[in-house]
Amino acid sequence: MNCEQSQNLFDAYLDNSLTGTLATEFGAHQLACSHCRRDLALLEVAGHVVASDNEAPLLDDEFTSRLVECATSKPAKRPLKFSRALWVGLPAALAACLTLVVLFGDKDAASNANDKEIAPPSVLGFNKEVTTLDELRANVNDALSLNPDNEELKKLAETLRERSEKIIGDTRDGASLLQDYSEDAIRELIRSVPNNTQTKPADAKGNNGSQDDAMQDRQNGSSNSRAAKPPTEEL
Amino acid sequence: MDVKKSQEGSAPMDRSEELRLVQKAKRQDAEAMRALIDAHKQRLFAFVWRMHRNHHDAEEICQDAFLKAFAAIDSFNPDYRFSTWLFTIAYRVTLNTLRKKRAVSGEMDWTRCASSEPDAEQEYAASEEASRLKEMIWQSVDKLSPAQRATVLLFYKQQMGCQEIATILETPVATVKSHLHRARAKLKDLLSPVLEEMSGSQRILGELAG
Repeated sequence: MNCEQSQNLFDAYLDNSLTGTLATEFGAHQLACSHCRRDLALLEVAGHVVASDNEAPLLDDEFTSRLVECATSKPAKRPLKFSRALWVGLPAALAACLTLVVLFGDKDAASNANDKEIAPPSVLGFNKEVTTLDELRANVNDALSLNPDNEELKKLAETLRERSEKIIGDTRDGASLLQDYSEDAIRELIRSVPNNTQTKPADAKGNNGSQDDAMQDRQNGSSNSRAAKPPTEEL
Repeated sequence: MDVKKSQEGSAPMDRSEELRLVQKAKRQDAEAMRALIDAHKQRLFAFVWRMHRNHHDAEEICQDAFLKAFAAIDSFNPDYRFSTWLFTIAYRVTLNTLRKKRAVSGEMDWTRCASSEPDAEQEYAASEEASRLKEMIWQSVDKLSPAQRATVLLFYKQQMGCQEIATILETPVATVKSHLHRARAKLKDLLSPVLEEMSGSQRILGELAG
């Protein structure tokens, strides 16, 4: 065994995993080679110094008490966070559920029954950016005035009025929640309201005659790229 | 600095007792938490302090590790020792702190290095040269990479096996063995020239090996 082979076995020797003939050859080399013997001793001493280290300073006596106090006081704060989450989250969840129920609940039956009466989504005024509850309600009411027999729009207008007032009355964050809600509602409305009731045939670009001006306004003025697309692309 | 010698010689906590305390700690039992902290704090602090070389930072890291452990104690896997879990958290926090510290100053705080304190040195060897070698050994350990240093400390000081170290370092066992091999090679390279300068090096090594 030469020095290189011997040094390659240092790890195995120090980890007590050197056995058999290899261990004998290794030992024989150490006896004969002062250089390897010294290097090995150096590593053994380094390990011994690290292992027997007891010089780390002690933690102060209050360490445990401080920690226990911190650890056990945390749960007291959790209910506050939970209640805040509940306070904000519950109205949001209600609003989300409401949107789903209003927009998707029995939608097929309702739309089939009112195919002739339901106007294209453009009558809801999506050419204007809607950021508040009032704007949304105004749009829905406008649409309702043009389609007074549309049961779906009637329900939506009424539910919006009742629930939004309740949410605003219940929480300080109600208004901001309803802004989000209104944007979501608009997107869903665009998707959900059928547009197969055009009064004029669509032209090659997908615009229909009676809605040309409104479509032009949408493309020029709306900040919502989805709202700017023709209804045929949305559906 | 108040350099009291650490009392780390206490026997490891019985496994069933440890699990019982963990179950109680899950129910926010203060006494169980206290027992778990007392059983592990000094070992953990010694490890972190040797990694960090700063008393204040080491204490904060230990506090952080315990609080994180208790906050997430519901996810504790009883297949592992509580200490393994605790060291894993502490190692992660230590690495983050070391990274931040290096990013800010590029320097480590050596002022509280106990090996530079004369009264502590006398524990290992009477001779001045042996003390110097011991000091050089610690300085060489401090020059290892954080992963290599952690491996050396956990292997030699905490007497952990490669598997447990791999769990703590969140690396494969082969990587731990590689860290250990490279650490030893680096220590040898760093310490050999020092030893050359010393007269009677064989005697010194014999003295330190005790």
